[in-house]
Amino acid sequence: MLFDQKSLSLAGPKHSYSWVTLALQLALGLFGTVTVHAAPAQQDSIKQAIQSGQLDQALKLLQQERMNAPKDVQLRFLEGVIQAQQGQTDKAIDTFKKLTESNPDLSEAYNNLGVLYAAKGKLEESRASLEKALQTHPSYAAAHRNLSDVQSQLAKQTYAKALQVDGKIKNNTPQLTLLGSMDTSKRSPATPPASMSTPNPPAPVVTVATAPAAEAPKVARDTAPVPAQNPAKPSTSDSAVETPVASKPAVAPTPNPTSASAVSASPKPEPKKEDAAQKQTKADHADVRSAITAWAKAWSQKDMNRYLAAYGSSFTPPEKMSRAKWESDRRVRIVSKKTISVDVNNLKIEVTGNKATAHFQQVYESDNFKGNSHKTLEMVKLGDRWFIARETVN
Amino acid sequence: MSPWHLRWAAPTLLVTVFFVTVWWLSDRENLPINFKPTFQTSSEHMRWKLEFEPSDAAPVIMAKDPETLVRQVYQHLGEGDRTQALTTARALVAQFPTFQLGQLLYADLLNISSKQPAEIVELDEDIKPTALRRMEELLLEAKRRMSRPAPQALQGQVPAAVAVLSAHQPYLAAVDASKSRLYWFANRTGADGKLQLELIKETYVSVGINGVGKVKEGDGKTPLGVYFIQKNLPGSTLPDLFGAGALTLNFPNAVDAMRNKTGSGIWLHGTPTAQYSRAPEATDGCVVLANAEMEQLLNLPGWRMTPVVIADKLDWIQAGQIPEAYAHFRPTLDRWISERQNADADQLKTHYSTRFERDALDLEHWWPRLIQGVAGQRKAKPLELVSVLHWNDGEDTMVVTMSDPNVKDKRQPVFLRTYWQKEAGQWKLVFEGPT
Repeated sequence: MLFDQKSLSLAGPKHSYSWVTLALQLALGLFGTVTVHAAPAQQDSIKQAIQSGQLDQALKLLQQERMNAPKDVQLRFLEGVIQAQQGQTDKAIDTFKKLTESNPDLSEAYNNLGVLYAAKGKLEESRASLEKALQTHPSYAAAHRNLSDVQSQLAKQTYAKALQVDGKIKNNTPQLTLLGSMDTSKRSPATPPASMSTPNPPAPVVTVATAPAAEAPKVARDTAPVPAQNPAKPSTSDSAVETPVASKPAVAPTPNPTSASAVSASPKPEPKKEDAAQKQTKADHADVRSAITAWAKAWSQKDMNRYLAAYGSSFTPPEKMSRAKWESDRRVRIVSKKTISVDVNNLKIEVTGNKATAHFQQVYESDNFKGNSHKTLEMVKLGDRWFIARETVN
Repeated sequence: MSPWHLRWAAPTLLVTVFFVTVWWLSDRENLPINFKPTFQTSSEHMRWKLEFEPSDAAPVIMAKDPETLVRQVYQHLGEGDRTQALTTARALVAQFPTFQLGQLLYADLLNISSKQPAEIVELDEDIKPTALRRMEELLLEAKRRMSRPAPQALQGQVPAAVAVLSAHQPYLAAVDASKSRLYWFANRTGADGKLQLELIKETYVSVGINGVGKVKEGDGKTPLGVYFIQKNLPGSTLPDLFGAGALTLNFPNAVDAMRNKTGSGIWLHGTPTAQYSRAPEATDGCVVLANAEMEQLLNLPGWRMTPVVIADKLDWIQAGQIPEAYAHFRPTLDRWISERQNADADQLKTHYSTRFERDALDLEHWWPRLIQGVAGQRKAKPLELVSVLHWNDGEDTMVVTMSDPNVKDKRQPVFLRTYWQKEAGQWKLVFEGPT
């Protein structure tokens, strides 16, 4: 109460905006990995000319280069830098704006646009551009969110130290985002060491990689038992804004069509005589699959009754927990979330008698957490239903 | 038993915002020459710097005291460089982890850097009053530290309380309780007797939890007036609370005793391990300074008998200027010294107040003893002034410390201290005794 009054009395501080100001840098991006047409040596001499303040010289060199490669992104970028340094802020804004229109992934261009808007006093536009700069690269966005959360947590902790009430503060720990996959283009050798100011715009390669997944038939989460025909479920295509599908070639779509279909007993090239046992196995596969699909759906819908019912009486909770304790833990965990989505990818099922083992990639996403994990469910058949007996993450 | 919520955001942003402004107003003279005010409200144009390679140069940020770093943090904020402010604040808490104000500042900066600032933290009922009070204390500490006058602004000024400080008295200390500041001067007075002081230390201090104006034992107040350092107590011999050690003051002095003021153990001392500095008003009546500062004082040669002026608000005058009260007092003092030298008992007695008191004896009973030491032998040399200091707390008081050049016997006290007060416009001696 006390503080509220004080804050009121100081509302609208005169200079408040200054300290919110970002330390602006006009980053001359080294996005070398993208489609470089212009000779790097020439670009270096342009950069050197800019650095040494010989802007006219830089412009001359640039114009020569542009004759050869009029569309070159790097050169257009450099042109914007030169214009900015020459004080032709409006022109530079125009250049970077066009650049972002044709290349919406160029975070460097957004950054510079933000700087230039700020130079014009257009702070809202500046803020928007700078945010775009961060959003162009999802992992940076995640890192920023994480950093922000960690900072806020650290702030609370530091307040406790300041007030000498360490360890007596009830803390609601924020949940951070663990990226389950990474952008391979980031690991290309040409890339300079990771740094906030030189993000790597998603390379064209990315699109190529995405293509097969996009073409693959989608299995909606709540589509009920889809039998073996759709071996490779596309990975979280609708949440691609956060973690682009493309950015996980490690678990990539490429091997899936073959490997997954091989295991999942879908039509094999050489049709053998199907005996009864095989028929049974095939049916079991389908049943296990639908049980897992139902389990994931119940989890996604926070339908606790159906979710818990997926676990058989023989289920062994982790860490020697009692079933009751485990159930209540799960309930708290699941019900507390606003939204949950669980996707099952690359499901591989092995059936032996009335037992089955299912390996898959679980794509889990809740309010502010997103994770990719490899999960193994050991299933048992009771009557004609399959139940989970053990759940492990590997 | 609803949970109690402490709103962080409000007070914390307050600290930041408020002190940027304070810094801006109070410390302008410290700005680098090439500093351009880039953050007026009307600031339309933000400038940029061109960077080809991401710079990762991280110069080591260190300072000998945390306040310097706090100042730097605010300076960076004032320049709009929040990243640097955060970096500096991080260095601040790394170097001075027990400096709670630094932690608060760092927390604020982290918090405003976060997209989801910590707004509410639940505290246990039993610690909420403590935390709330601590927050207030830190706010006050920040305010006091940041609004302190720049040392440069004090150049050529001396506390108005000091009239004479002989070259044999190496230091003078002055405490401004309202500013939570201690000033420690080296005496540069030459043979001509013209007062010259050099400010060699000015630092944040804490005073009594109930402020100043001590009257009785346990009132949690720091006494006001002029005191003298008596002895040192090394930290190793004292509880942790006293930190690096202590310099004791002669509270209650003769005038305090006449006014029936009680209390004891008023010291300058250090801080406990857990706190680099204490709140502006936190002590039982002592003047507390950071251990690093206290250590330096303890290591100074010749701190004994250093006068310590303690005022709620210190008055300052230009060095060389004769304080008005002293101009009025000086003739009386001169006559007293000369009459004492000449052993002119009758004339001498006119200077003594009827309120004179010594060892529970009034003037009439004490006079024979007093005159015994004076009369009979005409002194070869007059008493020499060591220091003359003045304060007014409703009564005008002078404290005159002198040395007797005639004393050859090592067992006899060399120093004599007298307290004088104005009675009906006349300065009268109310106490006379050894230091």
